Amino acid sequence: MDHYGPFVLSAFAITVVVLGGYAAYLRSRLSGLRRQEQAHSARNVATAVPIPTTAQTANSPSGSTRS
Amino acid sequence: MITTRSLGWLSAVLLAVVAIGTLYVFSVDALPGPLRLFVAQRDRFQGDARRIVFFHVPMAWVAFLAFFVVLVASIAYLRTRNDRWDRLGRASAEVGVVFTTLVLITGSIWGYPVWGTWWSWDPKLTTTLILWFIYLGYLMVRSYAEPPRGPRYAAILGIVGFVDVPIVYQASVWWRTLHPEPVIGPEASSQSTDIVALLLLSLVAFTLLFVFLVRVRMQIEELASRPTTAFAAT
Repeated sequence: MDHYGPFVLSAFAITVVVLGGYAAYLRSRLSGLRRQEQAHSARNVATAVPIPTTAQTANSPSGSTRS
Repeated sequence: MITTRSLGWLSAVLLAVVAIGTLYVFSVDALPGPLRLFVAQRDRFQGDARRIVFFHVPMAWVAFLAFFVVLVASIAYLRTRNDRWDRLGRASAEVGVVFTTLVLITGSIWGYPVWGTWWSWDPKLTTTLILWFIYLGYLMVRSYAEPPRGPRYAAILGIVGFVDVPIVYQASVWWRTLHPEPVIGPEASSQSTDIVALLLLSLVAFTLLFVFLVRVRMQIEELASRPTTAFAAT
């Protein structure tokens, strides 16, 4: 390269750093939101109240009295 | 259908080829004939400074494309009030601002050795700086104004702001300016084959990168708008 080489290399380096940095920022934000959504759905599954089945209702003391 | 991940890899590989061709790592004579088209030769007047053009011009093209997408998304949002158009407009504006920032920086670095100054209040440069401020304003409106007013005001700004894009493109044709004439589009000046081939390859690579970045940004917007993640995203 001639004496303008440092200008070319610095322009190129700035482009790579800015675009690479922006892509890394988007990637970390996307993975953070995905993690958060997975954690939220896992928490919902863990705390969900089980729905009693017909058989459980019939056997329980307060269940159906039909014989 | 092409996935976001494969689009990212494809654009990265093409950008690497453009980088090699631009920075002229190999001797041109050592390359097979067709590949020589994608290697930038040293310019007689500008020397190696001309190599900056091979990523400065495609990034300017991508910025124009991004703001055109904002225009289309803004019109569609005002007609339908569908949030998906608003998310597309916001994603495209953000990517467009990143590319316009790089256009201003790389243009300035090219200007110093060729013009002898980092910045000149030349019509092309000034209108590009105005373009950058317009879409920075768009992003600020979109961030700080609450829905439904925020998306509506931003959409109006996205439509009005696009008026500056053809002015930037035509600035070097309409006014006396230091900036060279356009090298892409209807007003393009004639160029030698090696410039056109490498520029077109670079254009494809940066356009694919733009599509990739907008798709990732759209996914973020969609995830952030869901009730499970909306609180943390704000």
